[in-house]
Amino acid sequence: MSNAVKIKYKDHNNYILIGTNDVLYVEQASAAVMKIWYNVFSEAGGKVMMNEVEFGVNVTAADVKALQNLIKEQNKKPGSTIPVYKLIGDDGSTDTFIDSISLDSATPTNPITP
Amino acid sequence: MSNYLIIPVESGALLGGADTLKSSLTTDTTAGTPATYTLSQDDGDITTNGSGKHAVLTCVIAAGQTTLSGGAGRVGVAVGNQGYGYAVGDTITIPAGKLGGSSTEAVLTLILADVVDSAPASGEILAEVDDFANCIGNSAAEFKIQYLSGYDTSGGTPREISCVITPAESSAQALTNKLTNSISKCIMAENSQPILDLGDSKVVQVSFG
Repeated sequence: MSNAVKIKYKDHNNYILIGTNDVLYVEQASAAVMKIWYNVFSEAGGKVMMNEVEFGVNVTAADVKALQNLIKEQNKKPGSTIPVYKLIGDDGSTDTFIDSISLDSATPTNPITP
Repeated sequence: MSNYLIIPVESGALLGGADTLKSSLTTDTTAGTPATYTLSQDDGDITTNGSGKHAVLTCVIAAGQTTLSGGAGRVGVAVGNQGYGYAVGDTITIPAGKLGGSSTEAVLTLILADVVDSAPASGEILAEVDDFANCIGNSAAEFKIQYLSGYDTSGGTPREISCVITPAESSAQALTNKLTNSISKCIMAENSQPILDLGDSKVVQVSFG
């Protein structure tokens, strides 16, 4: 069974879907970037899969924790709903959406659950 | 439990590119006026003797020329405007007057290289979503579904299904949103297999990476 969350993509009217099966943890990689790490090896040597999402505004530690909590809650009821994730400060008036997303593999830099 | 999204695939799209069709001109226009012309089959700017639909040609008569084949003249079709249902041997006719007031009729006769046919015999592919990582519109006319496993360790490319649609959506994010809605239905449908809903647009090219 698959799990996923919807997040606004490039504007306030459209959404992108991000898979949340096998998530290890979510981290803040830089001011506007979150990395969603997965427990899926891409190759020998410890590299694992990672979705890197860049928002149009800076994110906070609370935003990161909120996404991880949403993923945890959603994984308790797989397939029943696709929740929508919004940044805490999203009032629909600023660029509180994903500007870009890329799927990559890397060695986790901070393998500690937030 | 495996979940699948059914992606219908239409055959017979025209090969996308700025000048992909000029070599198939069997009758060139004369007395054309130098300019770039956007000619839509849906708007009656071009006709075909086959069953192809929705193509939009982009034709260029170069400066100082009166024909499509002269100088840097071009006959092409943009990705997302390729239409579908065309077949080798079909003709596409550009009526007189469409390439400038005095232009004569031009005719393309499609050859094998002009027609894209990546549709399987079943007319559809099954895209599993159990291993899904993300889905995204690269542009208004192209999207990809990427997966967590099967990463190409030599080249560093995620496993993905890439598709070209026609007609194109209004924007990349609008296409992403439609894809999101269909895959969301798929994830929530334990005992059914939803069909990708792109409205009037159709998938015409599929590639796997």
